[in-house]
Amino acid sequence: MKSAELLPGTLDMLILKAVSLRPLHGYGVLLRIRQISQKALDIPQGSLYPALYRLEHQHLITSEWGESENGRKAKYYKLTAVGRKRLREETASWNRLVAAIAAALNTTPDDLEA
Amino acid sequence: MTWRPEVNLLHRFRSLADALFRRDRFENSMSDEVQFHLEAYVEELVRAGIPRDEAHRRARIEFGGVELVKDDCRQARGLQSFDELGQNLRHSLRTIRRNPAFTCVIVAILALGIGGNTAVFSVVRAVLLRPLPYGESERLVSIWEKNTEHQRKDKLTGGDYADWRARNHAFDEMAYSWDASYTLTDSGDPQTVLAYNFSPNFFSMLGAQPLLGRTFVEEDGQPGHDRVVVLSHHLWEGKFGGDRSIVGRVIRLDGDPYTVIGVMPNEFAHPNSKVDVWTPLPFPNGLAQNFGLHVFQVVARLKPTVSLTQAQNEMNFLARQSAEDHPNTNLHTSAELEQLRETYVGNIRLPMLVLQAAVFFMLLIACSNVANMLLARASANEREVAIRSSLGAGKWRLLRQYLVQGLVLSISAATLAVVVAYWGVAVLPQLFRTQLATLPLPAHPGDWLDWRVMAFTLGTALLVAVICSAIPALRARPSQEVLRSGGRGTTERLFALRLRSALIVGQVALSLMLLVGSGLLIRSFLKLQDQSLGFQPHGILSFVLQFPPNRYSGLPRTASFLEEMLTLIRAVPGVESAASISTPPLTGMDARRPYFDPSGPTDQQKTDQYQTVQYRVITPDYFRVMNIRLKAGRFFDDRDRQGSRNVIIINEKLARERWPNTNPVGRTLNVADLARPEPREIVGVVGDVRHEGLAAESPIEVYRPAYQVSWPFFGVVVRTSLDPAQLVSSVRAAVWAGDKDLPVNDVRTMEDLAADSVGLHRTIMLFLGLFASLAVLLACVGIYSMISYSVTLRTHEIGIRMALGARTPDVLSIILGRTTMLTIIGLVIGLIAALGLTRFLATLLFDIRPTDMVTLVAAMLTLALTAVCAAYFPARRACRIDPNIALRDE
Repeated sequence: MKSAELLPGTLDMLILKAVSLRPLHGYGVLLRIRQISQKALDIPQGSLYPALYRLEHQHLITSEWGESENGRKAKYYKLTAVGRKRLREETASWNRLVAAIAAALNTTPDDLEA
Repeated sequence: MTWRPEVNLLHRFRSLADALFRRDRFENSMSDEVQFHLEAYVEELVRAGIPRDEAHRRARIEFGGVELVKDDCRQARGLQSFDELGQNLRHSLRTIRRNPAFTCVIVAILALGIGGNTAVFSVVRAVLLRPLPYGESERLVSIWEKNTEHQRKDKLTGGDYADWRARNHAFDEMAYSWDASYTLTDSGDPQTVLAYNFSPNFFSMLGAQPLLGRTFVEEDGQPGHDRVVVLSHHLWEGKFGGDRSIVGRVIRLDGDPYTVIGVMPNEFAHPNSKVDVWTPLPFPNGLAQNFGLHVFQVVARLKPTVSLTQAQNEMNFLARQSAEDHPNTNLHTSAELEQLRETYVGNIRLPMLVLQAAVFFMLLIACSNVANMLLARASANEREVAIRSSLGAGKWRLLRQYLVQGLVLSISAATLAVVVAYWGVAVLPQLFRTQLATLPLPAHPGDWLDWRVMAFTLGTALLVAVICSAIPALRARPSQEVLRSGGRGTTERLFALRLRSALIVGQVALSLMLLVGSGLLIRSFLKLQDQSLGFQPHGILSFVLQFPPNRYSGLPRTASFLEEMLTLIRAVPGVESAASISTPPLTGMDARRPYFDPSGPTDQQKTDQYQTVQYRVITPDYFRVMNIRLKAGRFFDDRDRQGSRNVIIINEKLARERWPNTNPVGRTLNVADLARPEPREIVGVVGDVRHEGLAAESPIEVYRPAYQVSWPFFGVVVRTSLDPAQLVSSVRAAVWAGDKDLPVNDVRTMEDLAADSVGLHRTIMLFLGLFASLAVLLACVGIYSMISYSVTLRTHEIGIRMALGARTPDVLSIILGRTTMLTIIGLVIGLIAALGLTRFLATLLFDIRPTDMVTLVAAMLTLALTAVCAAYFPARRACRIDPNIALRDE
């Protein structure tokens, strides 16, 4: 699948989604997003952590040190109630936007005369 | 993803605080997290088959700059502002440490300017604007009579008071007061208390509330009910220890029992703060037809609908009516109204305003000086700014840095300014103590400080410091020219140069104005000092003896008692001579009596009737003790006793007025001992005495011998070759040896009294002189720094010119040309302003015109000379520039 470019403002949404499925550390978030986007989205590594810190600052996610799969210390992020709510809202809004644009872009000349 | 602040504020704050206060933990945690990420990525790459070293390298490259990422994370947490602030503060402190003198000077100048200004403004506001502690005090006015010939304000006569009170429509109420004094003999030394008699409605008219008990009511005016007294706060605290059960207690005034009915609070001080007690005085009906004795000090309350002007008009009308009804006495009488506040502060208003103006000029000069210094430094920083700009520092980032620098300066100055202001308001009222004695004023320095004034002056000065610090960043552009020329362009930025020039001109002009003002006051003061008092004050001790009326009254008892006292006093070791006068000069005491010249033409007699003359009762050797010269005739002697011919001695001024071409000795003048003028023979003429102090004209005076007139109190003057202050206790002891209950009051040396009489002039002169000196110093520093900076800036250019053949005069004209022109412009502007403004000083000046040429020229020369001195060293440095070194040195 061709990779899509990440639209600005969507990184936060994707991180929230990734973390909503299961608590993850930063690297894990990267992998998860790659996975759930069918390998189409690859987050630039330099923007991941600032985004995570920003989201934590806004209390949409919280962090906790825990043990990783290979026994190392890692910082795990998980969604807060507020974050869950935000994710729902943003998803709905995004879907609406996408539907509207898709409809606009799929218009044929015939539809106009209706 | 939108940022919705209202949801997150608390969390953001907690998150930031957490990161800020546990910074190490935050940093470590962040490092660990990044480390983990990199390792995980490396593992992934290794699993994909890439060799470990290569994997490490790739991982790092893909991640991006670790520090940059960390910076972004820090920013996400909101730490960036704090970090930057910390950086800026450290930078500012480094800058200060590099040049501590510069910072100290700026902080000191600002602190003194702001603090001094706040102190003076606060005091002036408190004195001139503070509301009086009475109900609706703006409606209270004092009523005076004025003799339009002599232009003297006077208290009202009984007749005028009665008439005007009955006939006016402008006032709700009128009330009068009358000074008096009693001897309080309770415990301790017999004490004379200064009292005021109030009409029974006085307190209620003022709307003044007592602290304890009550004030007067109408019944207190009735005979039998009038032995009541209200105490002042300081007497209550001082003499009675603040005893809260004092109401109802009986104290003895002049031996008579008086019941204490109330105590006034500290703020109440009518008519001045020296009054100890108030007693009621019902209107003495005998005085209702008296138009000769001016004894009633009247205050009235305007009706709510009447303005001061309307009231004045009505009083003018009533005064004219009185003139028609009583032409003998009131022909030249007019009424004058003034706000009660004016009565309290009238004669101190101008000095206070002059002081305020002067200190404000000082603030302007201080601020402009500081601005100048900061701008100079800013220009010197241009290179640094240019480099940093071209390296990518944002304009706002630089601005913030310089703002912090300015704020550090400002806040230090502000803190110091508060200290200065606090000290100022503690010290200033002490300097004007005598003049402020009449006002109800706050007791503690903290209460004086007007915080609004402080905030305003602080704000202004901070603005100056901050703006001038930030200017380099505001104009920052990565200027190729600046960088290439090594940061020292041959011209300052035009804007900065123009601004600094304007500031120098301003400083010079303001300094000149202060110099002229203080010069005028100094010359005036010296002329005052040159005046002769008419007597020799050196070595004279003066005090006042109060005769309790029930023990010594009438001749010959007062005269013989006086003589006994003087004998005892003369026996004190160290005393050369002693004499007595009813109202000694410079003490503020005086008495006037009606008089006329019986031999003059009859119509002059009519208009002369009830003119008044200063009236004094003396023992025979008074003039000798005081070294007052005899101009004609003789002094009093043993011939002048009770029963023999009634005689007077007049002073030169009166002799010149009445008998300009003849010897008045032997002639008769009708002078009143009590109310009616009686014929008295003139036996001598003596020199004029400046009774009210150096600044006032000598009045016309008439002296009567103590053996022919009795008087309820007597001043005593004692001449000694020692320091008069040393005799005080022995003289007191001598008096009490004669009568242990006799109070000895107002013990002062004549020299102190003479100094006090010009105290206000001296204080104002000293202040203005201080400000002028500081202003000249600052202007000097300003000019010095401007020229010095110019030399530094243009060393290279001068080197080139010298190499091309320029000589010393050429170099001087380059360096000094601009500054000389600025100084001259400043002098001209200052001169014009001074000519316009010094007229406001006119009433403070003695025998000097506000446009006195000598002072103006001297001031200009002083300032010009200072400018030359300031320019000397930098100019010399410029001329000593070695072209070789200058050209080589970049």
